[in-house]
Amino acid sequence: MPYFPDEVVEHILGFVSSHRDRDAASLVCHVWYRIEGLTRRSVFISNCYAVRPERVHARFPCLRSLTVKGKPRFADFNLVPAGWGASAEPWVDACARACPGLEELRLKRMVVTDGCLNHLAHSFPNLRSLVLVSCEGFSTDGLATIATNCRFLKELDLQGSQVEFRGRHWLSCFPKPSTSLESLNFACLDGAVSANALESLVARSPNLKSLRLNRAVPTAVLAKILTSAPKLVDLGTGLVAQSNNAGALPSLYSAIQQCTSLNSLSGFWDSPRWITPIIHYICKNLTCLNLSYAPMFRTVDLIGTIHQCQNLQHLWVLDHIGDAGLKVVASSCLELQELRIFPANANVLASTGVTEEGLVAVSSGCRKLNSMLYSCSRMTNSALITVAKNCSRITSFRLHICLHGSVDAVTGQPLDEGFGAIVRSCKGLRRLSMSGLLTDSVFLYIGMYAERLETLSVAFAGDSDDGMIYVLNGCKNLRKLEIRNCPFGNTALLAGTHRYEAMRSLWMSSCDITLGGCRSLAAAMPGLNVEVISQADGGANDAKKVEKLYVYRTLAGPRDDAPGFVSIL
Amino acid sequence: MEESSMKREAMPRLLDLIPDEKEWSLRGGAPRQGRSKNTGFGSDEDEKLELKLGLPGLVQEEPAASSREKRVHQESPALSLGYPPKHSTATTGAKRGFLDTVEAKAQGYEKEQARAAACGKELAVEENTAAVGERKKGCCPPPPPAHAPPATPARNIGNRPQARGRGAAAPVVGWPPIRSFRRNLASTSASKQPPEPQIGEADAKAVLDCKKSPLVKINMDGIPIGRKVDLAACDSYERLSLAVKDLFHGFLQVQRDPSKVERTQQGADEKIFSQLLDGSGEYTLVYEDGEGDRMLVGDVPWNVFVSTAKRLRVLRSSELSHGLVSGSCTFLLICADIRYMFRLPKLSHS
Repeated sequence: MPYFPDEVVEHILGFVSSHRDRDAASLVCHVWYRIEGLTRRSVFISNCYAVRPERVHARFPCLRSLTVKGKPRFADFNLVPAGWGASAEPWVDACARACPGLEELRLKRMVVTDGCLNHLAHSFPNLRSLVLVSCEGFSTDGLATIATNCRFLKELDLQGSQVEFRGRHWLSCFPKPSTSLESLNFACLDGAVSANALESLVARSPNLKSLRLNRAVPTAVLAKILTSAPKLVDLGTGLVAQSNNAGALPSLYSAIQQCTSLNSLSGFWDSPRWITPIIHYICKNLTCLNLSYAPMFRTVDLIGTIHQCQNLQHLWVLDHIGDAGLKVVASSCLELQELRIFPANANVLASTGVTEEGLVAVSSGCRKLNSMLYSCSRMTNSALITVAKNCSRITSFRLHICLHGSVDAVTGQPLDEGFGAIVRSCKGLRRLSMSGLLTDSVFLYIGMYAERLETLSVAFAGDSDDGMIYVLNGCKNLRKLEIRNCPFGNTALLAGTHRYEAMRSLWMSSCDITLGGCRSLAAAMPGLNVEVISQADGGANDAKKVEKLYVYRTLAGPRDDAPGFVSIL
Repeated sequence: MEESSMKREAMPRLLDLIPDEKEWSLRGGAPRQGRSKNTGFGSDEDEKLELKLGLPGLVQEEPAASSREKRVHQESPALSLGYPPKHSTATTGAKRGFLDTVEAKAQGYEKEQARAAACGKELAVEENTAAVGERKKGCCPPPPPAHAPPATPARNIGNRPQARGRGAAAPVVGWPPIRSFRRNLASTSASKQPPEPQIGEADAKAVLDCKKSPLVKINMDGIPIGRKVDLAACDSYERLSLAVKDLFHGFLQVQRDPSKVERTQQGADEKIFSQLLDGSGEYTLVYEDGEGDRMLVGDVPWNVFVSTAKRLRVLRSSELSHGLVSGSCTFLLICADIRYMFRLPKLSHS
């Protein structure tokens, strides 16, 4: 058919919502590119410096939902110095000018100031959803401005952000007589919360489905909240049952019984064992349980609790659950899809939590597992091989053995064979994070077998440049490569020269690359920003070792807000 | 020599596996075909492939740990590897395929040993400060701690540090990869009490008082005099157990029949105190928290225990089932209680 009306294309594209599908559609021809651009409502920018905000708005004038990610992921582990960048200001400015009808804004690992929030609040009257994941730079004053001015706000989610506490008043700023709030998450907030304001807010939010409180909210308040919001689906408790609150327990238990829709539970904080009766009431419906903020739980209570939750699909827990606890998980939670074990004690040498036995047990019991984050003190190749055989559906596998460079605890070998089995058997593996003693062999396996791999995180692994070369040459779908403390040098870096434009970013820290190598890369590929983050002075000669390197593709050229310790080559 | 010729043999195969720009070719055959043939881990092609991955020392053998050990023992003089200072000798074979620095010198080996010994001591110092103190076997490596099997074939291979050279002993920035709010979680939740003025200020005050002194009272069954123990000085449950033993050891001696031989007494005391934590000995260690419940020591992470334990007791194990209500029992009792409460139709709940 030589002529295909634009309106038809537009209508059809309206049903296409996935970013990747839309990206593919826009590549068909100029007409489709234009139509797709005009009709796209939701844009996902995975690196805030990859493109200028103005350009985004020029191409997608009708966008209603914007997601932007900022700092590299290793910023979570203090590897990126403060002041590196990723300010949300340019994005909010551009949005305010081009797109005042914005409805959703999601930011991850960006610096958001109170001024920025103020600007947001006054520029987007229609804002429905504000999600700030792992952001920083703002305070409760900024939240107050948002609450006051965004009258139609449905979702305010501060997951993992660092918020400066400047008062409790922000909760009272939400609209009266009723709000449209469906989801409110302030679990990360340090600082007190006004009980009255909170109770009143929940009482006037009839649509509230998800509520995550911070640890300043005591039991009595929680009980009242649950009584006025029995339709809650997702609850993050406050501080439950300290001794002074024991009197409120019966009302809490009775309130919880009314919450028949509750299927997701988190929080607990300093709560000791009293929590288990609470979970008991809702265990039949529970699909998500996050006990990873609760180091006060005793192992025996953890086990008793989880044993009752037969329909659990997502479980986050601390490692003092032990192997015995994981065996209980394996026998009780057969629907489990995602398991995350975090270390209860960050002190590397003192960790005693779980071992490879727990991992094997879970893999043989929970056959539907597709996502694992496992922090343990030891591992063996045979355990990993068994896991690979049992759970071939895994798409995300992250193993953190607390002491880096650990060998197979039984044979003393490196863990190459184990991880090799994982990448080979789990054909759909998209995310992999490795630890333990690893030689270049494991990278060869990854290059050979991990076809779908998109994110690879490597630390203290490899013997020579070959390792990185195998991965760069083999994994065609690789998007993010994060490397730290590996012996990869300039040869390895430059081997991927033509790969980096197809990837989102590359991070290398404490490796063997020099300034000369980075300069060569920058010269060869003008479409990449090659950022060298270095806090030590020491001259700029080519032989100088580079502490931290962050390479990402960009259409925006070198960024102009780079601080002094970042040099863009 | 034999090794270098094997290496030379191995190198071309490795280069075959390193792809050129256009294709990712294995030894002959297109990548897709090659890969689709491999169905399971046991296929021959894969075995050959795996063995050729630059492990010249292992080409001829099945991955049997014992034979590998023997091989390593034979090849032990040729140790020096690319990275200072510590390397595991069992992985020598793997590394040799990739590194050129193989020196078959006895001196090199001795230097390695000396270095390993020095590093082992470093590690030992680290361990002391972190108080996981069971692994003082000279150069033997840090983890795994108490849970791991005490003797494995790997560790029988001489003194071989397991950790990698790159800053293994020193604390590393950002490792293990835990986000900072999680790192602070254990310590702050242990020390953090209801933070700002909320409902119940009197309780906050009471709780703050408890935070100050780390000395907790400890009593033992059958001994009229109570003692105090400094939890902050002990870094782990094992240390606590030792401290308890020190405190009460003398008393037990005094109390026993003086006609008994001292040696047997000491032996008996050792036995008593070594089983405090696992409940299998004559005595068991329990603690009381702020709410007055008694619980067995050992269930929660150490730092959480330090902040919540208000009193300790050493009870006779035989009395446990009678007097002590363990945590799970408490939970069951309460559950039963509440279920009973709420089964009654429409009575007023408090």
